[in-house]
Parts: sequence; C-alpha cells; structure tokens
Amino acid sequence: MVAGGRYDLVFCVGAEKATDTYDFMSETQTPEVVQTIAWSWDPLFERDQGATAADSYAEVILSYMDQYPSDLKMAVRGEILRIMCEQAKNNPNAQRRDEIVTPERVEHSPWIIEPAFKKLETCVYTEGACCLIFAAEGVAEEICKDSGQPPVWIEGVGFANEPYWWGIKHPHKLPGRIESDHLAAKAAYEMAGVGPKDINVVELHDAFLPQLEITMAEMGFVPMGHADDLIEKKIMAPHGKVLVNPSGGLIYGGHFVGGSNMFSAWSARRELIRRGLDYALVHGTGASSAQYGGAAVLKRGVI
Amino acid sequence: MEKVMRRPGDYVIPHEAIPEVMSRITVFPEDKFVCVERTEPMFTTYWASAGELSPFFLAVMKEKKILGARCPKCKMVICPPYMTRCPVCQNDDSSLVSLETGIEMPQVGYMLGTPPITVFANARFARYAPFGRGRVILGESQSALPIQVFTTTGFLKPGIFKAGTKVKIVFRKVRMGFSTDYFAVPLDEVPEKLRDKKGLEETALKWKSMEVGDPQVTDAFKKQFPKALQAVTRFVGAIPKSPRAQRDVANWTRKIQVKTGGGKFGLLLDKQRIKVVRGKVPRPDLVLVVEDPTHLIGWTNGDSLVNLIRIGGAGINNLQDMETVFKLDRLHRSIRRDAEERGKK
Repeated sequence: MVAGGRYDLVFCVGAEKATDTYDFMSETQTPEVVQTIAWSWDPLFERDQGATAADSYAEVILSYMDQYPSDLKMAVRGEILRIMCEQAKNNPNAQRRDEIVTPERVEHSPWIIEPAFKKLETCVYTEGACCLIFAAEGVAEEICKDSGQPPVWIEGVGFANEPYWWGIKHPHKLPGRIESDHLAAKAAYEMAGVGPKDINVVELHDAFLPQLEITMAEMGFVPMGHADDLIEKKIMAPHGKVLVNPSGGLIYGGHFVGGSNMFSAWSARRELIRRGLDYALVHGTGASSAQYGGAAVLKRGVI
Repeated sequence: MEKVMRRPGDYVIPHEAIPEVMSRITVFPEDKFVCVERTEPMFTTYWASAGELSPFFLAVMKEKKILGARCPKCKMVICPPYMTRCPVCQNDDSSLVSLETGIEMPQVGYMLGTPPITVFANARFARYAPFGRGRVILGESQSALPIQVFTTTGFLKPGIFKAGTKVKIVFRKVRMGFSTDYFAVPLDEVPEKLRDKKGLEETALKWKSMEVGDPQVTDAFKKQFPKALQAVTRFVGAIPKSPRAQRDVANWTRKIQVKTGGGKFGLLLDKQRIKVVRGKVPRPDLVLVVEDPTHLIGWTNGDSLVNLIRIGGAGINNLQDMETVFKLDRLHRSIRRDAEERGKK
C-alpha cells in the first residue's frame, strides 16, 4: 500500500489470543490450541489422521534427514538453542527470558514428534501483539527526525507458495525441501541487490529448531545438507558473523501467531540501529507443511 | 495457588453438543449424485459433505479400493484425486474429480518419506499417541496419499517406517467414509500369502498386544531401590514450593503404582501434590513399570519418562493416559525454573 503509492503512512497491527482455547480433557491449553490450528489441514484426506503443525513440519524435517542423514545433529541444535536462549535475555519483550537452556537439557527433554524434535526445540504458542509503522520516503524522514531514530528501509520483499500436496516431482511439494523459503529469499535478495553474504542480522521464523537450520540453508547461508555449518564452520554469531534471531526467535520470544513475524521485523530494526549494522533479513513461514515463505531485506538508513 | 472450585458433572461444553463420529450416504434426487457426509467436530451442528470426492470414499467403504485419477489429456496419475484440474497440463474438464477416468490403484506402495511419530498429541488425538502419519506412493501416482501408519509388532518406534519402506494398504473392518478407514503397515509384517490380496482387512493380521509385564527382580535393582525411592520422595516434596509444578498437576488426580526390579511404591496425585507411599497401591489408575530404579533417579534429574517409555526402558498399562506421564515430565523443569528464580531473588 505504501510502495504502491496509495498511502504514505500505514499503521499495521497484529495480535494473537490463542490460549483462550482450553482443553477440558487434559486441563491445559496447549493441546487445544494445537488442535485449533490443525483444523486448517485438508478436511477429507488429512485432518482425521491427526495432522498438526508439529507433525507436518516434522515431515519436512524428517524428509530432509532422509536425504542428509548426517546433518541436523542434536549437539548442533542444542548449541543453537543455547545461543538463542542467551540472546533472548537482551530482548525485553521475549516471553522465555529467564530460562537457562543447555544442549544437555535439550537432549534430555521429551520427544514431541519422534524422531524430529524435542520439547525444548519447539516454539511456544502464546499471546501477544505487535505494531509496525510503514511510511513512504519523505514522511519517514520526518518521523525519524522527530524520534531521533534512523529509518529502516525495506529494500526487497519476496513471497512464495508451494503446492499443498506432496509428491515425487513438481508440481507437488517435494520431500526434503522448503522451496518457498528459497524462492522468497531469492526474490527479496534480487530486489534489494544483495545476497546472503551482505546480511548481518537474520530474524527467522523458527517454528521448530531443525526447521531453522533447513531454512538457513534454503536462504543461502549454508549449503543444503550442511546446515550444521552454522555452528561447525562458525557462520552464526557469536562464533561467526551472522546474528540469527537476536530476539530469541519464536522459540524464546514466543510465537503469537497473529504477529510473530512483525515481532521479528521489530527485532531486526532494533538490532540494525543498536549495533549500527547494514542489512537484515526477516523471514516468515506458514501453511501446513511450510509451503508458504516470505522474506524481506531491511537496510538501516540515516537521519 | 487459588482453590479450584467445580460443580461435578457440569461441563462448559455440554456433551450433547459434541457430535459422535458418524457418516451417511445421501443421494440427491435432481441428478442422483451419491455423496458421503460425515459429522464435523468443528461445526457441531453440521454434516460435512465429501462432495465431488465422494466416489473415492465410497470405493473405500464399499469395495475396499483406493482410487486415483488419470488425466485424459497428459495421462498423469494422482492419488488421492485431490483437485478438479490436472496440476501438470492444467486440463480443466474436471474429469480428475468426477473420476470418470478413475483408476484403481495397487494396494502396495512405498513411503515417500520417514513418517513422524506424534508423541505429544493435540486434544482430539491425545488418547491415540504415540501415532504415526505419513504419505505413500501407490503405482504410477505422482502424488502421495496421506495415511496413518501402524505396526503389528506393538509400540510404533522410529526405524519401522522409513523413506522407501514398502507398505501394504489395510482397511478397517468398520469403514465410515473417513481417511482413517485405511492405513499402512510395513509389507514385511504382512504374511506372504496376504501381500497380494486386495482389500485386506485389519482382522486378517495378528496384532501384538501392548501389555506391560512385571519387572525382573534382581539384587542389583534391590540395592538401588532405596536410593531411587529417596530421590523421588525428595523430588515430589519440592512441588509445594514450586507454583509452576503445582500448575502442572492442578485438577489432576491419579493413583499410580510404580513397579521396579527392586521394589514398588505408589505416587498419589491429588490437590496439586504428589504423595509417595510404599508398597502396593490398591486399584491404581495407572501402572508405571521401570525395571531399573536408577532411571527414576534420572527422572528426578530431568530425564524424560516419555523418552524412557519410547526406548523400552519403561512401560505403562494404559497408553491412553500418556497425558499423566507428560505431566510428570513437566515437573523437573518447573521446579528447576522456580528454584532458579528464587535463587536470583
């Protein structure tokens, strides 16, 4: 709406009230929240079989592990979680700020979907709200002068959908891939005229930790099949240069479905300004088996 | 913690508003179209129609067949027949869905990928956990049929199904027009004489029961038992100091008999507390068998009982009560987090 010239100032609000759904059988909230989201699966062929966001993303993860059995090692996953847990402590809005998560604790936590991921590798369905202000050139500078904060420009955006149905070749969703993430990031890079090497901060929709690793590979930060290079080849900060999920991600920041990726954009802007960095990549995923991907390249401007 | 008040027998959602699982076959007089309709939990007063896809479910119900569709133009095959136009050549004569060119698919196929096993399930499926769901390629189909996976050998564990595992389609004895009317088992678990049989029903296979036996008693286990009992007593004794742990077991009442190879004891969950009692528990709601008592010490240090059950180190007599085991698994983290917070203060 802003880039199209229709409006020069857009106020965008996202909110989530997920935990109002309470499961009277287990006397807890989570199972019913998960169930409510599961209503979006194919009602004839999938829903009755127990399809959920967790088991469908697990299908993506396990089919990746079918192709790359030596990748996504538990020790690496544990270390990424430890780093994100530490980073969440610097985010005043993170919902799991006070927890200490170590690779050992990840290893010992119970399976949620076996053998794809464990409890401490899953995001937290939660409640929250976020607001972003989109402003056109000219208006943005005025706001920034008033606030004393530099603008952050959207340099590139990309979105992609994959087919809903899985199969052995296109036009089906392919096992072992999150092509929507790949295509969305590619489009965003091309529009911004940058590549993964230019990105300083990534705020990534980490629904489940192994999916974070696959998405980082799909977006070009590490080769497919070598997602563990994030730690083993010191790509990811603090071992390397790329700051991944400084907000703590959805796992520690909280996944309030109606506004999580806005929260990611808020964090990316914050880190670009706080640390004086140039480029950030914000990523979002969705649909039943990660068939939808969105990406935006942000660039820090000057007042 | 506030006292929980309840009116026994009263429910926020009345039972009569929760539909039974039902289906019916409706024939429309105008064009004599035969349609499968099922009750739909999301809209409790509605019947949901399978519409144009009814022939697929009618074939499952009446003939124990799985139908696919072949595009009359480019000959591409899909199973299930999920869309009205060919996804490859975009031929839109709707013949894929009308199934005029519907083809019967073979009932042996292979798994497209390793199917996930849901251990922590949502509210509707909690009583079935752990359960598996994957996708199978049948015959020439380019698309994969979503399918539940079962093993005849008892507990579904990783490794039984993998990408490429050959599977046999098996049909429920009672079929109601749902995608749970059919499921897959590994082909090598099906007796050879039944592998080529079409319309194989579940009753034709032998299913291993999942009864838990008594643990093997040894001197080594007996030696460890007092330490385990002491650790468990100390661990559950921390619940009253932990608001998180109290929430974990709020409104939950269970009498659990824990049997080990060194002795037995009971865990009585009630009023947001767990009391440890020695020896036999009369009429337990749940029996937890942990042969090696040191595993219980591990549990008090953060190891997962769910994982222990999954690897065969423990068992329960009622898989439909995994929710209780999940609650027991939550306690360590809750107690630890509250202790860490108290430490900071």
